[in-house]
Amino acid sequence: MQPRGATLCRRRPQLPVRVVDTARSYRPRSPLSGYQADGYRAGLLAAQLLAEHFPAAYDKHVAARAVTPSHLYAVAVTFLSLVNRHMFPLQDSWDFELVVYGDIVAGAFGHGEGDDVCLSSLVEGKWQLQQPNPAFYGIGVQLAMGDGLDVEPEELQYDALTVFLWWLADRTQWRLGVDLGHYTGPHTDELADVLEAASQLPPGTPMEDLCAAFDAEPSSYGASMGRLLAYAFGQTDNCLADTSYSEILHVYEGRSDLTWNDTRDLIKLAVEAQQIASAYEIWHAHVATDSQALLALSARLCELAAPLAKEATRTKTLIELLVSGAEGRADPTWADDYPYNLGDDGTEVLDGDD
Amino acid sequence: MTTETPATKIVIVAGQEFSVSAETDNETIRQQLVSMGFADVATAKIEEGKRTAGEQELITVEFVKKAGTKGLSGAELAALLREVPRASVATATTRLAPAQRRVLHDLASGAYTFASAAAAAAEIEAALDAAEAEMYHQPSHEGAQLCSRVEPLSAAAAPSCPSGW
Repeated sequence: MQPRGATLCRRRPQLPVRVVDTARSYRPRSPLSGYQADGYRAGLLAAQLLAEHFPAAYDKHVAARAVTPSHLYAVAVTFLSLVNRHMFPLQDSWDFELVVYGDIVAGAFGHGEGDDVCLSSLVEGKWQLQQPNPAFYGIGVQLAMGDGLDVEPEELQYDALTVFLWWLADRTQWRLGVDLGHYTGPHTDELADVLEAASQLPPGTPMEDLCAAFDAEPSSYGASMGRLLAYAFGQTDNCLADTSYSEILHVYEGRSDLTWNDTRDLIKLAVEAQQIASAYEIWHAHVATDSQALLALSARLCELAAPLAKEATRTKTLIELLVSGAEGRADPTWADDYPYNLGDDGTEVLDGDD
Repeated sequence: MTTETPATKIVIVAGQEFSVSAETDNETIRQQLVSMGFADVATAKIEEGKRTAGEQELITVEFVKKAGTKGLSGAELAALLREVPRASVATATTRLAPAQRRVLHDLASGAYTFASAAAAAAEIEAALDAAEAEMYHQPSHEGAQLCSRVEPLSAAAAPSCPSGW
C-alpha cells in the first residue's frame, strides 16, 4: 500500500512568475473619469434645457445650487418631470424617476441617491435629454408588417376592430400584405364569422378619399370617423398617433427625428394623438363585440367606397396618364420607399412587369 | 473541337461559377462582383485559364483572394511583413492641460453653481472632452511606445516561435 497522497498529489513544477503592477496603468489621472465626465455632461445639458424651456423654475430653484452629481440628477428629473406635466407625456423610463404627483422640485431634489447612482443614471439616460422621448399612441401597424423583427408575441396583439378594418382594406393600397390570420388568434370565433359575412372594400379604393368621405359620418367618440379609420392604418399624419413605442424600439432602433426645438409641435401632436387613441378605444368598445355593428360598418364603408373606387379605376385619358406620370417622376424617393406598386386591382406589380 | 471563338467565359469566385459574355472586361466583372457583395474580389488576383466544355474551349477567369496573415507559415508571414510599408505610429498628443484639470477639479468638488457653470460652459465642455480623451490616452500611448520598439526589428522566419516569425 502506497503512502497516502504519494502519487495522487504531486508537487507542481516551479513556473517562472512575473508580477505585473497594473495599478499605474489604471490610475485615473483626471479628477473626473471619462464615465463621470459623461454624466456631468448629461446633467449640464439638462440644466441648459431647463433654463431654455422653464427659465422661471431654473432661476428660482437651480441657478444658485452647487453642481454636484446629486443635483445634476435632480435637475434632469426636474426638467423631464416638467415636460411630462406641462408639455407632453413622456415614455416611462428606468433611468429617471419622474415626479408625477406633488411638487416637482421638492420631489426631484429629495431623492437621496448616491453620487455614483446619479451619474450612472445620467449616463444611461442621457439619450432622453439629447432628444425628446414622448409617449407614442400608435397601434403598431409596422410591427404587424415587420416580418423578422425580434418582437415579443404580446406586442403583436391587436384588437378585433383593428383586425376587422385591416381585413376590410386587404385589397386596397393600404393593405398590410400579411396573413391576418396571425392576428385573429386571440379573438373569438365570432370575429371569423363576421369576416366571412362582411364585404371587403373594392380593389383600387383610394383610402385617403374614403377617410375624407367617412369624416362626414356623425361621430360621438371624440374624433372624426375618417381620422379613426386612418388611425387603424397608421395614416393620420400625426407621428405620435401613427407610431407605437414598440415600433420606435424595434423598427427605428430607438431613434426618432424629434428634437427639443419641436416642443411646440409635440404639444399639439400629443393632445391630438391622445384624443384619437382614446376615441378609437371607445369606438372599439362600441362595435368590436357587436357583429351587427361590424357588418353595418363594412356595408357603409363599401357604400362610400364604391363610387370612389370606380372613379379611381376608370380608364384614364392620355393627358391624365402623362400628368400622373410626370407627378410620379417628380418625387424620386418614392421608388426607394416602396419597392412595389399596386395595380388597379390591388395586386403587386413588380418593377419591370408589364 | 470547334475553333469558333466562344461567346461566353466562365467566372470563378469563392467556389462559385458564373457564365458571362466573353467580351466583358475582367475589371468590369470585378466591379460587378464587388457591388454584389464579394468584397474580397476588390483586391483579388485574376488568373485566366481554359476549360473544355463539350466542343468548345472556354476561357476561365478566376478571382483568387490575396492571402491574409491568418494561416501563413512563418516564412510567408515574414515575407509579407517585409512587403508592408513601414509607418511610424503617431503618439497621442492629448494631454489634460493644467487649466482643464483645474476646471475638472472645481466641477468634482462642487465649486461651480449651475449659473457659474453656464457662464463657463465652453471651458467646462472642453475639459470634459479632455477627461474623456484622457481615458483612452494612456493605453494608446503605451501601445505606440511598444510599436516603436518593435518597428526597427526586421521580420524573419522563426519556426520555433509560437508566432512563426
